[in-house]
Amino acid sequence: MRPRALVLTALLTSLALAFNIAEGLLPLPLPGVKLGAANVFALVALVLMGPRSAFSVTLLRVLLAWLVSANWFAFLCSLAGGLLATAVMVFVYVNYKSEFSLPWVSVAGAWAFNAGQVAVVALMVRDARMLFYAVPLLLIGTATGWVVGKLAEMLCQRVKKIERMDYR
Amino acid sequence: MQQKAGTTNLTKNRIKPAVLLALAAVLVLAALAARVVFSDRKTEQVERDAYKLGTVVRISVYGQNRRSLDKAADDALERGITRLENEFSVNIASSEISRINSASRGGRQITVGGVPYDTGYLVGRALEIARETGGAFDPTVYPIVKLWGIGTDHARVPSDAQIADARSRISFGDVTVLKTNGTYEIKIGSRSRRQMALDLGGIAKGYVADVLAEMLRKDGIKCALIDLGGNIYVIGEAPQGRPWKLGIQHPHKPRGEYFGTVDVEDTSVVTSGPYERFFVKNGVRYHHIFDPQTGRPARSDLESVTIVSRVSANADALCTALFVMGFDKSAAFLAKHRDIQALLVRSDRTVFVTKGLESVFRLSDPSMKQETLK
Amino acid sequence: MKRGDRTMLILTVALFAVCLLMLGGHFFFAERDDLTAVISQNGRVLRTIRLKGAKAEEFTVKCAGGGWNRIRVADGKICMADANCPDRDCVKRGLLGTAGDSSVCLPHRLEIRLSGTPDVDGATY
Repeated sequence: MRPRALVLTALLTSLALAFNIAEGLLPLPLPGVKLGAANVFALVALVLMGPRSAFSVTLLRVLLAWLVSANWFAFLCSLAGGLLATAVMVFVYVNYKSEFSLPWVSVAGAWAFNAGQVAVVALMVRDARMLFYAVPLLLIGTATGWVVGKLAEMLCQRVKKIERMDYR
Repeated sequence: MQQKAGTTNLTKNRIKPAVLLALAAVLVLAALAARVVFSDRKTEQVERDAYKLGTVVRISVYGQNRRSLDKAADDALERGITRLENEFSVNIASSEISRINSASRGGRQITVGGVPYDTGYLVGRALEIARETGGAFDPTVYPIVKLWGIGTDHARVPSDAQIADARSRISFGDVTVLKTNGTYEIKIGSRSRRQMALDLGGIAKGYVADVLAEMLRKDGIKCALIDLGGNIYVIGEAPQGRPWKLGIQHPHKPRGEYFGTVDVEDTSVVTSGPYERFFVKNGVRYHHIFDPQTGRPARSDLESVTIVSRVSANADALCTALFVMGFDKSAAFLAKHRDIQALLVRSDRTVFVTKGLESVFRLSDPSMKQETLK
Repeated sequence: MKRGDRTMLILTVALFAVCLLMLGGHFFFAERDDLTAVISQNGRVLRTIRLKGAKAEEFTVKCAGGGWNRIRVADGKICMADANCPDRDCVKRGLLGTAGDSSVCLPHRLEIRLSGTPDVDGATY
């Protein structure tokens, strides 16, 4: 990986981690479940560097978050949600880039993220009623996802303008 | 697919595998999590109710393996409560205490040998507490207890002469416990003091709770609640993974209604008050907590005493002692023994808590005030 | 707006609608004060009484050996009004009116237990 790509990946990972920790402070009815604003950085990585970087950022972020919090429950939730979110965003962006603007790609990622988390929680406590929490979570996740997606879009446009991008 | 300058070859062929890989990873994860967490994770509950020690006794144990829970609970009931009741009860003619008391009727300074461990130990401990509390708790108070008969159908107000006579037979200083060759020997009475009698009623429930807790712990139980007629011992945390929340009996409301709660784990909570047992004659209420000095129900400015301690025997005995001592002496006692945690309800409806309970006690009766003891 | 974006927007609105429906359903079907008292003897359920709005009544439950307990229902609460067991612990328990409350007469193997989870795990007395 070229040094610039490395640096950018590291930067995005740490930003994602910071966002992750920050959202952890928000009170949510389910433990270990997050809104998923951190996923936007995987999206930025996806746009600027490609799917592999997107997955790297996500995986690294989830691992680091686990090291920091020592909460294995949250780790499993974030891992499932993060991978699912990144996969969905990659799928949508790569195949339908022209039909979806970044904010909505981010929303799709947020939906996948929350769905993944809630599925893990429901499995762990063996209670399907947990799945009902998905609805309000998805709704709030939509708003968060859209906002950070918009920010990502603006960020990417600015970066592209600066350097006729090729970070690969 | 048109390739723009500077973009890598992101064809669908390379994306699908990545996406599929991610999805597969998620599924594997979910399966692993399910396996790790699923099996045997459900907490089982086993409860045993019994009528022992003259009251309702309930043992609740929680854990993973139902069979071991059953065994632990049954063991505790049989080898714990029943066995000890048969040793301690003044109402069972064949108990150790009854044996000592009837021997004591024989004359002055009697020595009773062959006393088994639990009885010997408990009498010794009771005497220690009597010394520590200046006699406010006194295991030799039985002559007075028997005289008044509170809690039985022949409860009555004795004459002053009868009270004086019974009082003359109360003296914890005239009882000694000696350990010889694995069993205990109890010396009771003296040249000037005869026909003394022991009553472990004020400490027995606590001791039984301690023994039960030890038995359950040895059986590997990490989560349990023992309720011996309101004398509670909790092991570990509540099954939901938080401290046990226990209500403290309200001195003026019916049983089951509490004036506050404490959040505790691995400890015992015992409450005592004059409202538990009493009879009324000519408009006067005579309750069951006697003042060994006067031979009459203790006249105290306290309405309820609660002790929180890992040793339930101590909690049980100290409850009685502090009530007899009254507020001022109790506060002084607690200031001196900082390891004892207590809640004192004074007659002006103020609840005094020791520092250690400040953060875990929550007052729920708005008509009462709360203060912390210095 | 791009085509895909529009799809997402529609999905979001649908999500919102589902959310509203769920909320409404929750409030409408919430367990309305369904406090029930279950009276059982020897582990066998004798009667179940829905306490809210229950008409005042008193009845006696007998058990083998001449034991009896008098149960009273009034003002949405239930209690053991009287009994001929030795300690009358069950009577001393007083009124049962909060979720999870219970009163047990062990000698007569009779228990009244209210539905729901109690506020406290146990209580001293």
